[in-house]
Amino acid sequence: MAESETPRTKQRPIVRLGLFLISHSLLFSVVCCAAGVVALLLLPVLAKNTYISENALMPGSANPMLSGEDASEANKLVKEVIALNSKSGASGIKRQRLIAQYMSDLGAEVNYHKFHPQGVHFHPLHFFSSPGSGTTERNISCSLRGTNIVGIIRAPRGDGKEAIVLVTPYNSVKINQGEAMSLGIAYSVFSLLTRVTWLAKDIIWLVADSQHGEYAAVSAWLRDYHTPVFNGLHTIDAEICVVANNLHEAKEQPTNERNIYDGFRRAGTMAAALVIKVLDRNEQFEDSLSIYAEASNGQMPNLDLINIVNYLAVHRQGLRAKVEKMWSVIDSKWVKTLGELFESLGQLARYLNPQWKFGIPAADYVEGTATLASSLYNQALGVPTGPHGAFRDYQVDAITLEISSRASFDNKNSRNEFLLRGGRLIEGVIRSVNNLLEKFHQSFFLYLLTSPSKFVSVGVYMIALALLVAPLPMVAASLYTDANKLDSIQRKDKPTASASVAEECDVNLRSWKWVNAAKKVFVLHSWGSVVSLLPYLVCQIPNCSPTASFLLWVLLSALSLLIMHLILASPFFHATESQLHVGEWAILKSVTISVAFIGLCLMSVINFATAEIGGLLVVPMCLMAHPLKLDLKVWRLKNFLRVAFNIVFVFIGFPPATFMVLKSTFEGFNSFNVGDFWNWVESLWAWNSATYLYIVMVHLPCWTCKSED
Amino acid sequence: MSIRIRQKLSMEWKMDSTVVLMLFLLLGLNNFRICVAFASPLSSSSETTMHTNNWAVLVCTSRFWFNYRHMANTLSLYRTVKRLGIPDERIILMLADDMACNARNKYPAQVFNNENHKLNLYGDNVEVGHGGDEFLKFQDSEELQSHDLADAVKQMKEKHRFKELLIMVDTCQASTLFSQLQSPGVLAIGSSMKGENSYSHHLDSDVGVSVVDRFTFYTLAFFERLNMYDNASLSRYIEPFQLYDLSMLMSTAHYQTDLYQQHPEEVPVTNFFGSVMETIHTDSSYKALSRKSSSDTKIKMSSDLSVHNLERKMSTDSNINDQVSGLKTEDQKGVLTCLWNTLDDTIGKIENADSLVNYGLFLMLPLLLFASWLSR
Repeated sequence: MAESETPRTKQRPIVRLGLFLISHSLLFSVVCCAAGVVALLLLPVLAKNTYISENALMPGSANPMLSGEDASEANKLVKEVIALNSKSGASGIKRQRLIAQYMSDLGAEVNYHKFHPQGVHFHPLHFFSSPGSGTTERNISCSLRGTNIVGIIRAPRGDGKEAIVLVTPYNSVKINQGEAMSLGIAYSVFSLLTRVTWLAKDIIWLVADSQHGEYAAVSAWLRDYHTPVFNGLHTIDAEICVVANNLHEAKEQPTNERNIYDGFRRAGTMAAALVIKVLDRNEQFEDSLSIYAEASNGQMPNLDLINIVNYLAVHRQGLRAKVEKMWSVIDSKWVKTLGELFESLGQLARYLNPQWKFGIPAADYVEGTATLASSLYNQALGVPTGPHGAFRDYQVDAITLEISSRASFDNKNSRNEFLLRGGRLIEGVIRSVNNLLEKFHQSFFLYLLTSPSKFVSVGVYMIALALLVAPLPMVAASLYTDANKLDSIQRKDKPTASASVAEECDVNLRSWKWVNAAKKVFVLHSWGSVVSLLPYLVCQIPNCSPTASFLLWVLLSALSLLIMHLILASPFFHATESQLHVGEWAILKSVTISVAFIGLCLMSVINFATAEIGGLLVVPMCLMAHPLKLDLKVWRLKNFLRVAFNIVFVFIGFPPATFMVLKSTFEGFNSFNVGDFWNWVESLWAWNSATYLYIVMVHLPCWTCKSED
Repeated sequence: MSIRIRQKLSMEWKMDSTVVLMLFLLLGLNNFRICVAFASPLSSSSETTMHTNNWAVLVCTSRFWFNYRHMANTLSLYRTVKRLGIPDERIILMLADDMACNARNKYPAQVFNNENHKLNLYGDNVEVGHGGDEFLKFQDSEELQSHDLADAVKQMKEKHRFKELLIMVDTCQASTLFSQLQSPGVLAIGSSMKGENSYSHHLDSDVGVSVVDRFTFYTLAFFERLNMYDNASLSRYIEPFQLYDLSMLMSTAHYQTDLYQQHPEEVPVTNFFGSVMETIHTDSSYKALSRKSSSDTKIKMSSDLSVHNLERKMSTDSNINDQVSGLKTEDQKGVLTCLWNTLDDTIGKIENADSLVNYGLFLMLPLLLFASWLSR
C-alpha cells in the first residue's frame, strides 16, 4: 500500500486499485473464495419465483376440451396394445400396425420411420460437431433396426410452417403398462386435435421405438427430419432389411390403411416438443409430474416451457410437479443446519426491517439445495436426462414429462381418470404453445432450478463463480511481481564487479523467465490432449472390462507423461533444476494459475455448471499449492498444515479420486468400483460432453502442475 | 366545417406487453356542403350544437392473437356508433390484424366481445399497439406520441376540419397522450392516468383469450341502454367511471374538458357517438317545393350544375396534400361559393321566369344582327 501511494508519477485510480489488490492478494483471495462458496450456498435463498414471460402463451385461459369419450377411446387402444404382449410371434410388428391404424383412422398422415441406431463409439474429433454429421455405417445388421411411427395432423387453417411434437417412447418388443398408458394419453390428445378448429401449428406424434434406447430412436428420427434426401439412395439403404422382413407379412397386410405413406413425412419447424412418459410403479401420495429438462452440455429449454407445464399441472390438473432432487443432500445434516442458520438470519433481517424479505424456511432451503445440486450436477455432466435432449441439438425446446399415478392401472375407471387428466395437461400445453407467434425467446435459457416454480437466473449464479475465480489473476500477478522483486534483491546482494552490461542482460533474462514456466505448462497441457485421445486406442481392444480399460488408460497416460518428460522437456528441466531457487516455482505457479483462470472462464461460457464445480476443486488447490520440498525443510505448524492441505487437495483434485469421493459420499462406500469411472467417462463421450474435454485438457494438466510442485 | 374525433385506445392488462389497441372515433360536420345543398347559413352557432355530419374514426392499433380483445373493443364501438345513427360511409374503421380469420380462432370468421357469444361482431362489416408515458404503439412497430397527436389536431383545427372533437383512448397511461393538446373544442377521455394500467374485463375460456377491456366494457354497457334519440349527457356517461373507478376499471378514467367551451352536462352523448338528423318543418321549404314543381328547366340545371361543380372542387381539394395550396383552394372556393349563392338568390328572386326567358330570346335577335353586321 505504501508503495502504491507514493508513486513518482500520479497513477490512475484503477491502476492504484489493482496494485492494492495485488499487494493484498492473500486476504483478497481468502475473502473472495469464501464469498464465492457462500454465494453458491445462498443460491436457493436468492431463487425467484418463475413467471410466464411471453404474453402470447396464455396458459390455462381456455377450458380443456378433452372429454371422457376421448379417454375411453384411448383406453381401448391401451388394452389392445397390452393384449398383444401375451401373443407370441411378431407382436412388435402387429403392435406397430395397430398404432398406425388407430392414427390413420383419425385422419392423420402416418408413416413408418425405419432407422439403425448409432452405436456408442468414441470419436475424438466429434466434440462440438453438429449432431447430424456422424456417418452412418454401411454394415448394419438387420436385427439392429427400429421402427418409429409418425403421425401428422395438418392445422386446418395454419400455414404449415411450424409444428409441435409429441413423443411417446415404447419398447416394441415388450411393452409395459406405463408405456401403454403414455401411448393412451398421446392418442387421446391426438384424436381431439384432429377435430379442433383452433390449430395454427401442425402436430406430430412420434411413437419412438425404444428397444435400442429412447434417445437413439428420437435422435435418429430428428436426424432424418433435418437432413432431407433428394436421391433415392438413402431409402434403398434402409429398405434392404425391410424387404426381407416384410415379404411374408405382405400377405396379411390389410388393405384399408388409407393414410399410411411410404416416404418420410415432414411438417414445419418445431416450436416445442413434449416427451410423455408414464411411470410404471404407483406413487404413494398423489398423482405427480416429474419434469426433466437438461439436455446435452447443460443446455436447458426456455424457462417458459417449464413454466406453462408447471402452471397447468399444478393449477389446472392438480398434479404435484417435481424436478429431480439429489436425495443424499436432503438427508445431510449440514445442509439442514445451514438452512436453519439462513432462516434465523432472515428472521433477524425482518425484525430489523419488515421490508426486507430475505430468507426462506429451513425445509424449503434443504429442498431447494437438493434440487439445485441435482440441476448443477446434471448440467455439469452434460448428459441429457431423457429423449428431449435430442431436440435441443436442433435448437428445439423440449422437456420430458413423467406422469405417475397414485391409483393402480388395473381399474378401468382410474385408468380413464388418469388418461383424462394427463391428456388435458398435454392439451393445455399444446394450446398454449399453439398461441405462440415466434420461437420461445422471452424467458431465460440459462438458469438453474431450485423447484419447479423457482429458478436462479444466470445473472445471479454467475456471481458465485466470478467471486470464486477472481483471486486467480490477482494471485498470479502478485506471485510474479514478488518473484521478480526477490530475484532482483538476491542479485543486488551479490557483489558483482562486472558492470552495467551484465546487469542489462540480466534484466532481459529476468523479464523472459516466465517463458520457461509457460513452456513447462504448455507441455503438460499438450500431454492432457494426448490423454484425451488415448481412450480411442483403448477402445480398439475388444472384450475389455471397464476396470481393465481404466487401468490401461492410466498406465498409458503415465507412460506418455514420462516420454514427454524425457523427450521434450528434459534438457531444459535439468538446466533449470540446477539453479532452482525460491522465485522459480512462484513463476511456474503464477503461469499455471493464469492458465487455470483462462480455462475456467472459457468453460463457464460453454457450460457454467462444469466450470463452477471445477472451480470449487481447482481454485483452492491452485491457491494453496506450495513445493513440498521447501515446506519439509522447516518443521513448523504452519508449514505442516500447508503440506497436509496440499496433499488433500491434490488427492481430491485427481479426477478419478474426485469421482470416487463424490460417489462414495452420495451413494455409500460399498458400491464403489474402479470400472465405474470408465463407464462414467464412456457416457461422457457418448454425449459429446464438453465436460470430458474440460477435465482432460484443463483440469488434469493443472492438477499435474500442482503435483509436480 | 366541423369534424369531431373520438379516439379510443384499449390497453393490455400487463405492463410489459408491447402491443396496444387504439380506437379513434371521428365525428364531423361539414357545413360547407350543407350550405350549398340546403342553402342554410354558413355559421352554425356553437350554442345550438346541431350536428348533422358526424364522422367516426375507429382505430385498433394492436396486432397478434393475444390482443383479440382490442379488436373486439373496436368492433363493439363500431357497432354502437352505427346503431346510434352514424352511417357506414362516415365511419372509418382501421384494424391492424385479422382475428376473425386467425388460425387460432375456434370460431372462424366470428369475433365476440362477451363469453356468452350472443353477439357476433364480425357479422356486419369491419389498425392495432400498446401505450406508455406520452406515446401509443401502432402495430408493434410505430409509435404515436402525444406531440404527434396534438400536432395533427392543431392542423385539423387550423384547416377548419372540425368544430368539436372527442378523443377517446383505452390504453395504459392513456391520459398522458392528451398532455400536449391545445386546440379549442377538443374533449379527451382516457381509460387510465399516468402510471396506471388499463385492464381486461373477462376471459372467454372457450376461445381462450380475454375478449373485452374494462373501460370498453362499461362504455358499451352504457351505450347499450341508449337509443338514437336519447338525451343522456356526456357527464352521465363519464361520471360513473370517476365515481367507482377503482373497483370497476382498476384504473382512473381521465376526462379533459379545459379546451371544450360547453358544459358536458348539457351536451348529449349522441352529439359524438351518434348522428341524429333533426327534421325541421318549415313553410318555406314547402314553398320551395311547390315552386320547384312549376319552375323551368334552366334553374334546375343551374342548381344541378352548382352541386356538380362543388363536388368536383371538393375532390380536387381532397387530392391536394400540400397544406398551403390546400388552404388557398379553400379560399378560392369560398369566393366561388358566394358567387353561386348570389346567383342562386338572384334567380330565386325573379318572380316571372317565363318572361325572363322570352325577353332573353328577344334580346338575342338584335345581338345576332349586330354580330353579323360586324363580321361583314
